[in-house]
Amino acid sequence: MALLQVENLKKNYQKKIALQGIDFKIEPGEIFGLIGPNGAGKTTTLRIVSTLLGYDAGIVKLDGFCARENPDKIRELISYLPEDAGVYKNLKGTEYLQFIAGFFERGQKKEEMVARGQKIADLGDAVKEKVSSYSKGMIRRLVIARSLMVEPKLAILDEPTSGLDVINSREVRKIIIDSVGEENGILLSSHNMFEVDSLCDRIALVYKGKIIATGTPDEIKSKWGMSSLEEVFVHLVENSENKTDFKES
Amino acid sequence: MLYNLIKKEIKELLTPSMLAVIIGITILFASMGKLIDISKEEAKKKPVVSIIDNDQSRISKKLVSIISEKTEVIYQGSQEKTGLEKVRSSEKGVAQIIITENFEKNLLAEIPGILKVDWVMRGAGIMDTISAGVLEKSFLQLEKTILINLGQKKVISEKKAAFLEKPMMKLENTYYKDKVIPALSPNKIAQVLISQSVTIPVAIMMIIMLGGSMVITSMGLEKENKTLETLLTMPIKRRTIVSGKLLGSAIVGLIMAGFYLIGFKFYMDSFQIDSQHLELLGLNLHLFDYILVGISLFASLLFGLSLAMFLGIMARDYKSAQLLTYPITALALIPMFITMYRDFDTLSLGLKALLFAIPFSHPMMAMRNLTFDNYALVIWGTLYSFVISVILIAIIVKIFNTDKLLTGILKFGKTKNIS
Repeated sequence: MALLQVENLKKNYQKKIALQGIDFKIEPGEIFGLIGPNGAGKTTTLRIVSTLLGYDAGIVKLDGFCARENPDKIRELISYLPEDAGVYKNLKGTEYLQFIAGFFERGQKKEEMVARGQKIADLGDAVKEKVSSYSKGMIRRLVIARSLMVEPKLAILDEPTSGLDVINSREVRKIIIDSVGEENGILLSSHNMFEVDSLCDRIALVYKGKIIATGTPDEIKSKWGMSSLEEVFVHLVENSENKTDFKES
Repeated sequence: MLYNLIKKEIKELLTPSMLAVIIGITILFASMGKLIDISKEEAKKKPVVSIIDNDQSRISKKLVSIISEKTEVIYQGSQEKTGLEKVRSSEKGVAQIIITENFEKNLLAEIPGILKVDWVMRGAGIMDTISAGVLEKSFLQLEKTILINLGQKKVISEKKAAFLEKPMMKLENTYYKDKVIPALSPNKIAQVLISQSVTIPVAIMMIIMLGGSMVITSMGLEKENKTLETLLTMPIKRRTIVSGKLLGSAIVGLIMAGFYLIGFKFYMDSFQIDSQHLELLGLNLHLFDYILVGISLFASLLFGLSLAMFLGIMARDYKSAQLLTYPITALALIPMFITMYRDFDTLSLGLKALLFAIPFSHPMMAMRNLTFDNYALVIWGTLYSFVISVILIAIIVKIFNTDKLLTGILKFGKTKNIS
């Protein structure tokens, strides 16, 4: 059984169409990336899977639980990291990790979870300082640590390296790869083609609320005979009228 | 270049919400001005009185004619009971003035003449005692008249300075609702109750503004920093998130209010008659009354915070959240000004309905109402505030379960439920 199953997902914001029928699956142990330009529908998809938004039509099932019927159950299984997520500035790094861990565990297990978060964040003594003194890179490491320390079935990461420099981006990518085990998975979004190429097992190219191609990065590149995902993406967008033909069978 | 910059600044600052705030403040100030106009008109009106002349002397008749000139006399006779009833039953009745027997005889013996005044107090607001103030001023003229009349007879020796200063002694009682307060005029009672007329409404307005501002700002910051999105994906019920936010803010709001009240009490103590005096007058509150005031304040604060949270849902970020605090401020200012100027009982039906409908009014009026044993209004007002708060919280929890919280679009109709 797929870890996450998304079928014919449709969503409108009043009169604006956001998603026109998105389909994809994530298997356990997989890192799945949604890539596409701003406004393509990546964040909307992630928010629906995270139970933050409702949807007009389609199926969203995580570990067999429907997002519409069992949102509470879904929230026990996921961990969502919004793009440019902030932290409560008056808390110290450890206090923030404890605050989040308090929603999942109590007592010794909670302390173990916080210790795991500290290890993932790898902020040294700075974790005991107030978040207001942190750099953007440090905040990102802290929020990624809080997302992954709870060991979710599915971690949902929206632009996990957004705004980070090369060194920090590299470290965050390593943290993400290290967090994937045999039973859990990661759904992330990015418009950085290089990032998804090096990070994801499979990807879906999203454009105007539709998936215009899906497969492993190598499959997609070889299918269109191009050396980079960026070239494939530009090619597909230019020919987006025939997008259904590009989809993996 | 400059034009471009100015145009950009105006466009950025003069948003529809800012315009709405400016219009709201204008209406508020206009209403305040109207209240002051009304009080000026009130001061021009003749106080309604009953007169009883038990002396029937030359001077007492002179005094009756002056009183009749300065007031609207609804009863003039010899029956004290009837006179008092006429004043109490008249909507604008202010006092019954009784010139006691031997008034002139006493004056001629250089003993102050005794004037008995039974005041009828309608309310303890600033405007409620205007008519009584007008009548009190008239008494000064009575004293002048007495001195002139006695001077003409040349019976006053210069040594009797004390008598000259006070040729007339007033024995006062004030009837206020079901209480008779001895030896004080409505103006003096209003001074005693100044903390209830001014301090309490101002303090409560500050509490509401502080608490409301905290919740709205917190919502704005949570949205801007996307910490709200994180919270909403935690394995907890949405109503727990709403309760946590409301109770956390209520506790901080009450702590802040406590400090504010302590400071303000020290300031106001310098103007007030002490609590022993209040006890002597039977105007003190008991433990049960304070508990009722506390519950009323909590209910009102709960409504204020819920309203702030409801408005905060519409905030996109910190900046837009700041603007959304104005409706709460306006809602707190309206009862503050009304309760300062008027008692609930002396308001028109429309204003009574408005005041009752705004939950912030109830703790502002609670102490004064409890002082005069008007428990029903306090209890019903508190219950109403709780009911309105619960309804508002239910709406908020419903919104927290829909897309609207993140999209910020509040469309009152069918909403898409996500949990």
